[in-house]
Amino acid sequence: MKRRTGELSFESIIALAFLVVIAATAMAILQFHLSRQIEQRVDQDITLGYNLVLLHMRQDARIGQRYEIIPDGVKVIGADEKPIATYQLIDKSMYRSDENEKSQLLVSNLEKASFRLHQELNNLLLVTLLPVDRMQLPFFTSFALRGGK
Amino acid sequence: MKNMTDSDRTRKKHKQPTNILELLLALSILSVSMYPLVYIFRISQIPRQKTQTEYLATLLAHHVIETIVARKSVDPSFLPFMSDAEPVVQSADSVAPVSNYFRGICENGENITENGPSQLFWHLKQFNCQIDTYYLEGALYKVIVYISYQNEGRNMRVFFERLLPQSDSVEQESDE
Repeated sequence: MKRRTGELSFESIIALAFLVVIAATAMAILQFHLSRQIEQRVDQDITLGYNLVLLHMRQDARIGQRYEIIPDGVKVIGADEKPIATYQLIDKSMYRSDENEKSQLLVSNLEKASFRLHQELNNLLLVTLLPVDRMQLPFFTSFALRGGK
Repeated sequence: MKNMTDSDRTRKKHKQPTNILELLLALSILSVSMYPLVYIFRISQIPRQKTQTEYLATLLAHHVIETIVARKSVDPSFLPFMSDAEPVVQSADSVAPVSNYFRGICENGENITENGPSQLFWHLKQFNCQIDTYYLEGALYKVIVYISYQNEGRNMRVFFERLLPQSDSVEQESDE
């Protein structure tokens, strides 16, 4: 029985397969590295900014006693009429400043930010954020005051 | 010389099918080994639309739960009622009533319509809101808020649940 041989040996084929697997592994490592770079993702994914809004507003609403609507923003007022935090849209970006007047950028590239109280419930704040890019996800949710309960 | 040419021809004749077989084998092994590459590339891509739709559904469920909390805070005897899956916006192609929790939430006091913030309307049009409620032991009342939508023909839904006291005793809560 004759043994047939070609130009590409089995060893070469296996070697090629190994090379592809190695390339795949290198690519996985690169993707993992890129996913760790949060700063790059902030611009790509608006939900990271929304998460900051959600996180801060939930915390502030837990201790807030009442909301005070201001132009393009809202103030969360705590016990003894002491302001806890202010959220305001300035130059298409939403900032949060706390009682120490420390300002933090939450979301940028916003066309509109709407803060208003529910028609029947003055302890419920409705928040709508509309991005400049209309294909981007809008933000709509509410925050009920707990007043430290 | 003639012998050499004959042997070359014979070798070529035998070599041709072997090469095709080897090529097929190489292609099959390479295609199998390419699978991890394609798989890793696929999972490394952010499933933008799917994740964002789910994210928006979570925000809507959060809105409903917060509305219940706010209403319960104002009226401790309040218990939300059950409802079928109802749209969250008012559209011309649907006669179903808008969910109670999404009525009059526009700045002008109207439901969200195409004429209102259209950006919000088109993103929210796909969602329905359903409320399930259960009476539990220990004078508790369980509320489950479902926000449903379709993704590639499949029904998806996000849910939050919350335990409320049936009386105005201390509130227990559990969000998911």
